Amino acid sequence: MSSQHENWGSRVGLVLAMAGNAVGLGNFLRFPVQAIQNGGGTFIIPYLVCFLLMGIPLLFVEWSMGRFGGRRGHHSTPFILDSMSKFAFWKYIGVFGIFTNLAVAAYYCYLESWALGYVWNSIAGMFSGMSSDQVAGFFSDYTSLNSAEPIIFWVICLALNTWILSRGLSGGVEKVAKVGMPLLIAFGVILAIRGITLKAGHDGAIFSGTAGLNFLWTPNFSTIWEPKVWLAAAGQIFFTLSVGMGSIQCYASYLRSKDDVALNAMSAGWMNEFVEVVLGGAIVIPITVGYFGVDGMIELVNKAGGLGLGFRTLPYLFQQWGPILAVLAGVMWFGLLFFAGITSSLAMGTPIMGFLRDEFGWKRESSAWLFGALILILGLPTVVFFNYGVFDEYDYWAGTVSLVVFALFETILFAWVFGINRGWKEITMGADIKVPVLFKYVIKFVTPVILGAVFIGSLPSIMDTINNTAIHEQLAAATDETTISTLKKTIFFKNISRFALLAMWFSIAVAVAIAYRKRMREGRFTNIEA
Amino acid sequence: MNPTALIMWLSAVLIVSSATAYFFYKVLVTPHGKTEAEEQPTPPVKSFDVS
Repeated sequence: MSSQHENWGSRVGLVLAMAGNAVGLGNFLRFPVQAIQNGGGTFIIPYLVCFLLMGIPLLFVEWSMGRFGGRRGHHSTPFILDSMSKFAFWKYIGVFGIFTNLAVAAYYCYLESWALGYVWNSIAGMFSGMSSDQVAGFFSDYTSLNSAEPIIFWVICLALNTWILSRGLSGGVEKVAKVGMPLLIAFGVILAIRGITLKAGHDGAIFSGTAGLNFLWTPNFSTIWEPKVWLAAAGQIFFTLSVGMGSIQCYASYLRSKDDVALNAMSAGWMNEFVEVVLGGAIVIPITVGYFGVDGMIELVNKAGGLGLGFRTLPYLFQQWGPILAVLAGVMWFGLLFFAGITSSLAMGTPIMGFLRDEFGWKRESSAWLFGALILILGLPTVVFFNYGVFDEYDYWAGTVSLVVFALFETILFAWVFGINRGWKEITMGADIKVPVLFKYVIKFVTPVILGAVFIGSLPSIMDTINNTAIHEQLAAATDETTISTLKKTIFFKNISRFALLAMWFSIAVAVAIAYRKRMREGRFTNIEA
Repeated sequence: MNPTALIMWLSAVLIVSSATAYFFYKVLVTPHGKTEAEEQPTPPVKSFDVS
């Protein structure tokens, strides 16, 4: 069997790759919108509390689980989880750690390719002279596949991801992180300064950028005890840190046995927070408010969300800064989104590669190309049927629900099955910082409760999604034949995508069962007594 | 900006930036301890040998 002796080349490279895994498009597009919708400046309080009580503990848990599994030659969650308990079913919980990465990568690479495509279009001056509606229309045309361009950039992105992954951790992923993360931060800092210093009356701006900051950060303390605000804050922490996916365990499984996890996890986690809170909060909202005012910005957010602001609105606003700055701002904005995307999608490729190499002796190159091929096949419906909600369906089930389910199970495994004392020993072994003992109790009692609350709080939305409630309501209100037909098609494609995702999960579970039997036949280790 | 918003924003920026800088600085200055022996994976344990 393939014995993987791959390791990270440097500590900085590892931390940047882990931070890159966490930093995604959501840091710039999701966080500010969540803050606006949940109490403005007050949102930061539950947000930081959830980061301390759920985010950091989960980072500690996932990093140490990964190193623990890696020490035993496991580089994917099914057998990392299996190695922590004597109960066989944990390996099937670990299936989520491969499934989520594959399903999320399937649509995420498409999103990433938009950023790459928009970098190209910014350089080509495509948005020059366009009105606000024309820029928005360009995005609609782009996602409707009215030209071959989106497909070309998508295929380029897939090939790029595959090629980098085939170069290995230190030769590929780490090098990209070392270039991509500093560039992302540099672009973010420049755009944030520009956003904050935007002045009313200059470059066509009606309001100053600080008006946007003012709106974003003015606290509404009446919302602070609302459960939905805490649920939104906990959800945002989840998505932003990439916890509950299985990619952190996979990256950490390539640590050396006595390498630190505590300081590395803290550094990568806080770096993600810097990008999200400091940079993410200072670009989209201040710039949009500068041109459309607070009401205009809210209208745009309600219409198309953070993604809409990023792709439908900002390219138009950059044009107001003059031809040269427009190109530069476009390249920096979509460039940073692209780097945020690719450093995350690379992390999504490593669990399936680790699994194939550990269990079936695949070579790194072959497993990388298989990942690319799978993403092409699984991602095609999200590209072709984007307007019928397939993309959103993948995002909801794989990128939202699965994360919570997996994180809840892994925390229970770590704190209650593997045992918090043994778990704490794992976290503190080789630690380069003193980890407050408080976290031991937080991991055992508080984190599972928060995760349980997030899951229970999500149940109504899960039921509504399963029943397609929102679409049925639209259908009931619709009178136009075309709208009715589109909505019916949307329901059909959404249902099909759910079955496809379910089939994907079961296929991985079958592969895990085969791998387990193979291990048994070969007399290889599976688990330890809990 | 109104004073409350300014305080909220500056506090968040200061807390997050300081923590980020502190931990990344620690990563940069703390040596990466390892030995050759540690690079070998732990010998596998057969589950059925464990009582």
